[in-house]
Amino acid sequence: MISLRNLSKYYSAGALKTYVLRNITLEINEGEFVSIMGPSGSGKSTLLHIMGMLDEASEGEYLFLDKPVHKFSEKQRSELHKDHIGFVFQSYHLIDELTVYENIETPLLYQSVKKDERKSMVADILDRFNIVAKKDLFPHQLSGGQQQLVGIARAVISRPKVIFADEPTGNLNSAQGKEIMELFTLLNKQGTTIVQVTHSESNAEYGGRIISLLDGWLQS
Amino acid sequence: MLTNHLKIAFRALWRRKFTTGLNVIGLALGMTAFFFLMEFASFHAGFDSFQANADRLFRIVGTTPEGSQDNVSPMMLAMRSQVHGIEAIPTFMTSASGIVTYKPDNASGASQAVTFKEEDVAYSNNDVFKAFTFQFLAGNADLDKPNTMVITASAAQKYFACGENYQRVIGKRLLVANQFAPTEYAVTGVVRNLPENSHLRGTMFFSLQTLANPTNLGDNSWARLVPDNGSAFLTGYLLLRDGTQASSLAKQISELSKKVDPSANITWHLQPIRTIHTGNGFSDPLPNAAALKYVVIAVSIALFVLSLAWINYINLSTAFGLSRAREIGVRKTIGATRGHLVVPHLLECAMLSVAALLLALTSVELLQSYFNSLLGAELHLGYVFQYGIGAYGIGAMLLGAILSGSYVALVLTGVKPIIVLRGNFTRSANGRFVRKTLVIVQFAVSIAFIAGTLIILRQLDFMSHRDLGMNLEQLLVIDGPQIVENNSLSGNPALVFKQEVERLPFVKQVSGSQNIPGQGYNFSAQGIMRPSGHSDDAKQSYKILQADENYFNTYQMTFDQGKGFQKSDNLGGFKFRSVVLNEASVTQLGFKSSSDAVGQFIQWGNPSEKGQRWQICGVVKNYHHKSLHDAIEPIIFLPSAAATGYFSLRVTIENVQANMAVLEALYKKILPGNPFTARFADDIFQKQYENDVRIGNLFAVFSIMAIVIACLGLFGLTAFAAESRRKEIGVRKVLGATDASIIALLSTEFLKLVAIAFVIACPTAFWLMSVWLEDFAYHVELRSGFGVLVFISSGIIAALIAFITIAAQARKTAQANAIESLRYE
Ligand SMILES: Nc1ncnc2c1ncn2[C@@H]1O[C@H](COP(=O)(O)OP(=O)(O)OP(=O)(O)O)[C@@H](O)[C@H]1O
Ligand SMILES: [Mg+2]
Repeated sequence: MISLRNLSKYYSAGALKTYVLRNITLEINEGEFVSIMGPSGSGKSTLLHIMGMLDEASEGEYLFLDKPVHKFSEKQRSELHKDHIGFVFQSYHLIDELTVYENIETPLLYQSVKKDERKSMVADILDRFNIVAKKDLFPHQLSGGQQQLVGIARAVISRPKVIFADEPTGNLNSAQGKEIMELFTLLNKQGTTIVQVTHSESNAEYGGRIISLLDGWLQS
Repeated sequence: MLTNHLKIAFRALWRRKFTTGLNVIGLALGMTAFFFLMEFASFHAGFDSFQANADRLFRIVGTTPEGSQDNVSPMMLAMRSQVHGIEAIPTFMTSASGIVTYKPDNASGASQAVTFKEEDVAYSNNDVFKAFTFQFLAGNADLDKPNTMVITASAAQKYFACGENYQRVIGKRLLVANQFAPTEYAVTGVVRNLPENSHLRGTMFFSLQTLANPTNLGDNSWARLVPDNGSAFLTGYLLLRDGTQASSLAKQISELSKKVDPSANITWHLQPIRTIHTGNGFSDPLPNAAALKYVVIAVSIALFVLSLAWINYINLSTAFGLSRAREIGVRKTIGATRGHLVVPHLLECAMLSVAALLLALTSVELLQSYFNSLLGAELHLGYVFQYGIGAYGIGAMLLGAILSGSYVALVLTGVKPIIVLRGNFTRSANGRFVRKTLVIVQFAVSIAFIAGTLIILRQLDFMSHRDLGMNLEQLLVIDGPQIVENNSLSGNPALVFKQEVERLPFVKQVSGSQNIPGQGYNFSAQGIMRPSGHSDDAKQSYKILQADENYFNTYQMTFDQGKGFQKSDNLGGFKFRSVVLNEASVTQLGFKSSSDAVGQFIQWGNPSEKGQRWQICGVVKNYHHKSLHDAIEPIIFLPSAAATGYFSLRVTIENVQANMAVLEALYKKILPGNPFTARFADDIFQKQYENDVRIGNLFAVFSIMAIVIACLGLFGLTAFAAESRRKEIGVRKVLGATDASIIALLSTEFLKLVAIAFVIACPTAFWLMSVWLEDFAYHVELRSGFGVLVFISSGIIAALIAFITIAAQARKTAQANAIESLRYE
């Protein structure tokens, strides 16, 4: 499903190019649960953002569902992103002025899902994630773990093919982290591809495959 | 969907109460100013638009190579039969002011006569009421009959205390005593008062036909209403038939008039009545009130103030928008396109605008009477919505909202999600340059306004303290009588009054004159020259003032050479032995000096006739007969012991009220039937500056508004700067920085902008105010220490206000607990 060929990313400061990702060739299949690991600054987030179409590679090719993303315009990319990709962040990034319910509903608004359908989809997710009681609260009224649950609920509501998660448990204690990981495993079993960045060996264990980065190089 | 959007927009605004508040207040202030100025502009631009026949109604105006005149003669109007396409010829004769008396005709004589002096009155024909729009409250117009009149509601109430029952007034008779023979008129109709925005004024319209009777004309043969009378004393209008071309009609009339009187060389024009107030463009050669200038100025200031407010909105929104960047980035990662994001922002902008609009309308409502009193006008919001210019104004306001709203929305939604996700979105250079520029613009405008206000105030002060060349203090002016019944025994009662007044213990001096300083002259005259003069000298114009021998010492004017005239210098009628000149006349007549002039002769008309050759007995030093707007003109004073137009009394300061009562009683006794009007000479003189004082007030108000708006913006921006440098400030404090040094740190950045604004504002304000000052023949000099002082103090005032604004905000940040701000990050 995701296919990277000789992909590189650099930032130029004047004439100087600083490579963050170098010559990455990588294949991720539908239904996989992949963990990306590596020291701080090794380029994990950058790689995730490129795969999630929030950022562009400097060189190389990227095929998503056999479509040449590297040739796409920003608009085409964001269409693709909107239809197939969910994102989960370390710092949750919920929208402060929206309630739990509204946060989860927002992606559906952007996809012009009809009102009744939206209602049932959100109700369904709230139920599955066991947060029905919290639906009218605002993010600041929730614990970190609860916020991340909402963040994941928001990512999966539009039934994406793949979820990218950047250190989803980074701000959580281990019990909360475990709960999130179990949720990912469940979603993966139901067919969603999952790519997560993590610093924790035990979290990485939940995935089927571990990809290691060092100074922008893929370690195999 | 919309309600959802609205709800979210409302929450977003509510959550950022601080910025929202600043935005609403700033916008509301700008809109309030905008509405006031647009009222003013619309009022003037819409003059006479209420006339139903405005498109077909023209004033007849003539131009000669020397200038223009808006008067016509009966001879001129008699040409009606020879031109086609005219529906009506409304005609006025405005030299009608006089004393109007109502004597209730109940036999017992219990009620008192009601008497007033009326200035705003005219003779007119019945066509006036056909062509112009009048609303009759009772009766109708029947002015083609002699001795009839139409009066306005306010006049009806004044004389007949009729309340709303105007029907009662019909048939009542008023006695009018003016320069014509005293005549009675019966009221045939009562009309609603003319609206404020009518160039046509008037509270009473007497039938012009009355003057066709020679008995009623008195000895004013110039006003004979016969077709061969060529003297131009009428104001004529034409109501054209539908489809008549005004320009071709004007040409026809001009040709006819040249045939009738080839020497006159007058070209006649038909002036559309709507251009009488504004002028047809800036350099309309036909006489007009030139109000277009004010319309343009008001609209420009209105748009300027409004843009200041929108600038504020843009500034605050993009600055604080950074804190919204995260939200926007997140929304993009969950599938929002730019379109999705722009709509809610526009909605927020719309909600802000509506809130500001409501606030502005409320303030306009509350402050209207205050604004009106500043301006000395009766304005209301209705004007804005009544005429075209208001519609453009509202359009401009909408456009402003849409443009600035869209700009803000585009800037904010342009955030790339990646920036957000990287977590380094706390500061962005995005739009900082724009924001700085906008702050500079705001302060430049504020400084220019402050400088303008200071200059106007200084000029007003200059005018009220300038040595006028005479002494107007404790000088009382009593209007002379209009109704004078000569008594064969004691002579002219007006002169009797003057003699009696002179005997009063609190009166030091009395002078009678036909006009007074601060008001005007008798008339202007050409053809006055030295016997040796060149024929071209006859074209020079002189102001003529008839006064008695006490005029100069009562006003405490000083003689440069010679002395004033004697009673006996008047040889009866319009014949004089000696006259007095002012210095300006001496120069214009071509004398080398005052001493050169005294004893010499000047002549007017035929010098061989007695009393047309005048000896100069004295030269009075130049004094300001009119306001400092006008240069001192050449004046010739003619001796007239019988001048009783005005009595000027030098009085003692004590018991002014009691003395006034004594004077009034005396006046009523000797001059019955005349209303007693007494004013202080310096009030009369200062009244000339009424408009200037109003402009000063307006400027003061708008400079306050401009600076408040600018400061609101600055306040918000400082808050933002402090917020985004919170961490830096925390670190500096831990390292031992004092509060003061931190305030300085935050202030310098903004004060630099104020400094740049100052550099821009000074030349602009200098130029604009120089133009304004050119309107005064005598004015303060900007190219002087005073000018430098004004500009520097405007800069300092703006900088000080800016600094206080910044410091108030910066202090809060500086004093915040350093450790806390570090932990916050
Ligand atoms: N805009 C930028 N300009 C220059 N260098 C950048 C920019 N953004 C990121 N980098 C660099 O790219 C490198 C990779 O960053 P990235 O965030 O991908 O690392 P990471 O592996 O996710 O680290 P961490 O585990 O700390 O999150 C870092 O060295 C970072 O300094
Ligand atoms: Mg990272």
